[in-house]
Amino acid sequence: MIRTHERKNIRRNSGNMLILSGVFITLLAVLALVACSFGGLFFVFNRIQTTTDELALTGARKLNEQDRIGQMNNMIARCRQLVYDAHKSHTYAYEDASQLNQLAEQLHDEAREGAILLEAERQKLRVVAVNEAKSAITERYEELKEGHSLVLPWLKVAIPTTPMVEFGYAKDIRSNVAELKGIDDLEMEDNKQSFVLTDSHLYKENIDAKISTDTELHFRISSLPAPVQSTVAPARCILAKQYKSLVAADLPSVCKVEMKLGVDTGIGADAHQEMKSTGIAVATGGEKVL
Amino acid sequence: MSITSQRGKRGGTIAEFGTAFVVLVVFFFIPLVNLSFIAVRYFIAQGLIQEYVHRLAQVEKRSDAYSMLSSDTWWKDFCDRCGVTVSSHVLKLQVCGANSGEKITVNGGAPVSTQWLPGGSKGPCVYTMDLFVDVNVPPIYSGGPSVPGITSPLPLQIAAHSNWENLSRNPVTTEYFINE
Amino acid sequence: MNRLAAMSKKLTIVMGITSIAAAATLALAPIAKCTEHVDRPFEWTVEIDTKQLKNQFQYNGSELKELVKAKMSYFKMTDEDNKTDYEDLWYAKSKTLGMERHHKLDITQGDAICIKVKHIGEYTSYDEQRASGKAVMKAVLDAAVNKNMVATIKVPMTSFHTIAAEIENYHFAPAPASTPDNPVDSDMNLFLESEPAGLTQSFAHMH
Repeated sequence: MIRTHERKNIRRNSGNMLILSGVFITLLAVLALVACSFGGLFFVFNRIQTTTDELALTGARKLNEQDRIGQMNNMIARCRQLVYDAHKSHTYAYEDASQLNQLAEQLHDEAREGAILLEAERQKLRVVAVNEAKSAITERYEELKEGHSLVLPWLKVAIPTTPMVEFGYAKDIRSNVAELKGIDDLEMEDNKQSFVLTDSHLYKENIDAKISTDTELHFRISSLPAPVQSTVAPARCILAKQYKSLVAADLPSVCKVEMKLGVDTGIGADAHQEMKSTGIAVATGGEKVL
Repeated sequence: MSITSQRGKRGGTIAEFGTAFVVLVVFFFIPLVNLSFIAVRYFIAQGLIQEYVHRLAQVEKRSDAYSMLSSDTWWKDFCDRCGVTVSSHVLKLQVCGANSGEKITVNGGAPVSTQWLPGGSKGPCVYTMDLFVDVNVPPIYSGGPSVPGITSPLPLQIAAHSNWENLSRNPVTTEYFINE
Repeated sequence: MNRLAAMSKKLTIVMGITSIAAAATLALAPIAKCTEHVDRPFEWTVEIDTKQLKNQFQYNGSELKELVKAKMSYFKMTDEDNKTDYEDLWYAKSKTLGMERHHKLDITQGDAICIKVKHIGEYTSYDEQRASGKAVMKAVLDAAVNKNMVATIKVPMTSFHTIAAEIENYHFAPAPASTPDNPVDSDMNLFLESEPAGLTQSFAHMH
């Protein structure tokens, strides 16, 4: 028979090592998971970066869809040549061949009207291209946004914010318009005004190539990758340092998308942070002139 | 007979519980926590290198990528701050042809042959910039007898890939930018 | 003897007539071949090939979608295989948009030219026909500046009337028939004819 005072000295013989080990292992696993999920924030960032790049490419491709910007650039250069030639013929007719003056004047007026129409269409195209690019980006964003959110007890990754979109052009990308020869005077004027690059024989980007004989008319040639021996430049992502904002009313060829992603760790003073990612893409290049 | 001298038959409780517990924590749990930081540092380094190769793949010319790799130090400095030491790195271009199994690796500034260029006979090809970085990832505590991963840095190679972006040609030279 | 003399005399006469006939045939052959040039001789042909372009300026609200390209080239009458590209013109909704000159008009000053319009494609729209007319007038001016006379303008029969109407837009009126003591006062005349032949119209420039 066991006496009471002796019972206190009896050690419990039920085991607790297994339970303790189990608790510690569980705690360790949770700590490891928490640590890895914080480490995995870089993966979250890579994912959002991929999405931003994709949105920028979507917008960029829309800008020069069916080569509309390339065609506009080419036609503007050709309109310029037409106006110059018509003015030259008109001047000759006026000074030396009066019987031709009426015909020359009418053709000159038609050339000017064509230039005015083309400038109006260029401005219309600018608005249309930008709006269509924004719509395409928004549509694609709606498809992709849900896949980013992540909710863990210690980490919350929100849905990325609506992308901010900007349009511009890329440094070192000239126009897609090859130098037009055929009228010696105009060629000399182009060289004098430095409208054409001597190495590539392309017109410079984002210029208003006004002709000296008619400064009222605008001939804006915009930046766009040029075709090289029938190779058309595909749309691609570029680095942030290559992006330039448009200053004048030129046609855009680059789309910049910025997105923010809220990350809430619930720990410490900086519990809520925002990850920002930027994607920049150049539009598809110009095609060969038909 | 004294009850206090009887040991539990189930074997769950030992007299040296305290000591065993200390041994368990010091030799098991703490090394595990120590090791888990290797994983965290690895993930950080992997993510950073992935972001960096993504930038390298967006430059205009392939030679620009190599110049950027040799001049940029920010990514190595960031790795250092996270405890990861970069020992060496290699950048290669991998070209995969249209047929499965057909691929070549171009090292350094070597040109891509015509058949592997866009529009070549092996195409359409996929061009990938591969960055291989040798790193040393240390645990939280390093010291004592050198056991890689436990008491000294673990040498690892991190590989990151990104599609080469610029498949257009230079209007001045007419060469593909991938070959410049 | 007399019979022989008579026979040789007849033979001489027959031979003479035959040789005269042969000479006349040989002399007239080139004229027969060039009957079309008898009235309006020209040394050069300026050919205008027009084509409706597709997939141009495709954006919402575009006024430039129906683009027409007129390709001008010239060649010496006797050397049709050796054409020189002169210039390309583009038109949209009958407005002249642009021009790309490839080569100067290297036609000897004083030579007469024929302007010939051809449509590429099975169907020719009204805009394309009007664009052809405008291209013709551009060619007329360029020829005149280069001191070349336009002997004739040949256009497809299907677009004859549209082109004729377009010419009238440039202050050229259908020339009235000139009668003795009532000459037509004009500093420039144009003659339009169809291919295949059937329709013709003369124009006189009115101030």
